[in-house]
Amino acid sequence: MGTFNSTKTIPYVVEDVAPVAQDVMRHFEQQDFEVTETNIPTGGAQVSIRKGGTFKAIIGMKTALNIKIEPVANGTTVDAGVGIFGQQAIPTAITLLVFWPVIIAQVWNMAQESNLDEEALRVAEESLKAHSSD
Amino acid sequence: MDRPWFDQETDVLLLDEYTVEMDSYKRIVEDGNITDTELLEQTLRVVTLLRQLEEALSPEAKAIATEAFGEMAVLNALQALRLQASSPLP
Repeated sequence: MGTFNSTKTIPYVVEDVAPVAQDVMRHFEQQDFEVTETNIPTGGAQVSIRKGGTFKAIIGMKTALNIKIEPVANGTTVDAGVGIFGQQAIPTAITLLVFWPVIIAQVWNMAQESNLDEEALRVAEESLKAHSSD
Repeated sequence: MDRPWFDQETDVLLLDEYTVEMDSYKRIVEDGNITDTELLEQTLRVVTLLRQLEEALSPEAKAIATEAFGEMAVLNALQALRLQASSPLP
């Protein structure tokens, strides 16, 4: 667990994380979340989920729970943390602002109160187990 | 202008939203180039506003403002140190 993220390394190996990302997307889409997927250069995938009320827009950019699914040596790491919808890094325009850590922390608290991070890790783990070759 | 500091629905801090609307901020992000003059002008702007604020505040409000500015400065220092730690050496 980081400051504003929850991470778990799951001991399942999959050839392609895309079906896992699809499962995570589908799970939250069914709960009326706005979802999108982006590829991570290391071979992983990132799923962004957001819903009004919990995830506020900061200076016109939509905050989201970004769920990164990345293959590692001993399995697959799943990381759920607050970020910007569909983007892998917090844009400089936001990091220049004095209060952005406060806002990120507030949004993270709201996500945690809804147990969204734990739910994301659980769904990803179930999907990894289902798609695993082990 | 009396604008709320926190979003009434989500309680999220709104001050950054107001910052990006300010001409001084827009000028900085437009060209990304900060001249000595811009830095000096911004410094003077801050000092002038702080003087106005000090005169306008009651002793109780001033004590809260002093503490708030101090904690904001700590937050700013934390951010700077974190960024420094995560940046690769030149």
